[in-house]
Amino acid sequence: MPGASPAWTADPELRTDDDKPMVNTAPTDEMLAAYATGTASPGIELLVAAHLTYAPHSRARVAELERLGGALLASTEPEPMENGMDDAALDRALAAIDALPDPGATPPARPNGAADAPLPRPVIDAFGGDFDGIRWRFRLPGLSAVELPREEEGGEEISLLRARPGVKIPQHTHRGREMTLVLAGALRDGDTVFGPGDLEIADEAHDHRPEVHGSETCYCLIVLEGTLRFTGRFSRALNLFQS
Amino acid sequence: MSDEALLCRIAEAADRGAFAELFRRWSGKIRAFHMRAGLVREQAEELTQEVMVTLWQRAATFDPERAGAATWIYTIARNRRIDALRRSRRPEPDPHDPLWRPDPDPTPEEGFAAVTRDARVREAVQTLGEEQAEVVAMSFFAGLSHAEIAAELGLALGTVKSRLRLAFNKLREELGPEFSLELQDD
Repeated sequence: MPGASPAWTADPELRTDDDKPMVNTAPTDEMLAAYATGTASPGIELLVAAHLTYAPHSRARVAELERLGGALLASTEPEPMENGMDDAALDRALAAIDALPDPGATPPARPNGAADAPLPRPVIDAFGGDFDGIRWRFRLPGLSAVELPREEEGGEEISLLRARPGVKIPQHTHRGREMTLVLAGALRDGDTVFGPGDLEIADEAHDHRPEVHGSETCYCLIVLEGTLRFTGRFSRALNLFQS
Repeated sequence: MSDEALLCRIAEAADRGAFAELFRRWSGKIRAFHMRAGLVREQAEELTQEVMVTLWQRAATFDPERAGAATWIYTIARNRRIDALRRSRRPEPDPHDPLWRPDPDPTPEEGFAAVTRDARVREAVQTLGEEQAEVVAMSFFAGLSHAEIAAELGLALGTVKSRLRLAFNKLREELGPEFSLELQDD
């Protein structure tokens, strides 16, 4: 069975027990909670959304947190409109509904790119919406990458990596945590093999040198934490709103 | 009529009366949710209008087997807030993705659980004391760290931490050990 799986399969049946990593390869509870509460940074949000495609167990945990969100919302004391304008607000909402386009007019289907693209939908969308249109840049023989434009100086770096079998991923200098989500193929770091949907978190202290495992091309999403530290992650989003 | 039934009326019959009732029940809570998250009143009011219209538009995608109305409304309010703040769509996993790994078959017990499970979580939240519920909501809705909550409420950090710990212990007690997630810590 090892090595028999097709080029980028996400089928857990095709992974052997030998491949099962002994370390935790899911996002941390903190990351899942930030995603469920809507307070995650854009990079963490993309990483978790991509991971959830592969991970029913993590989806169940996010669903549980969303239930808590629903329960907290239901028990929230309502905030009335200023000056008792609640009826006017309802009238405005009804007028907005009347102005909606005919629901029969279905929105145009999203461009799908290659139907058999080895990347999950949220990642394709983040990198332009079309797998075949991704503008890979040569890094080293067998290794290409593409980066999302950084939102701000010192902010997190979000990039996509494509590595051929046998390639060793070059060592990074970590300023903060580096999070690598395998999207297709597999990476091996020491004794641990990371398959599709698995996340490796490396910090400054962690000396790691992952390499492509097996005979398939490996794709990964990498989020490198920025140097900026935000207290209250949400305040950052609020700053964007003001600009 | 339950919230779930109101949403089904909107989906099946474009029922404006059902929408008006849903608006009366939820718009004030959604407004409070956005203000707790740090939006100023004007932004919160505008976003609430958008959320309510989105509920109308998406009512057909509401699936009571998957989530209760409160949970579904929460996710829409949260997503609209992110979309508005970022001016881009929140990334979400897509169940139609060819790479999607399906859920394992639910046990018979889980099969009819969504609305029941929602109700259980709601009951558990209601068992929290007011002080505990407040720190959980601040942490959950605003993404505030423990230190920020302490500063905002004028409490010692240790007090905030112990209230959150008590709250989550209580939720675990009510909901079972699988409810093990802690919110952001410092």
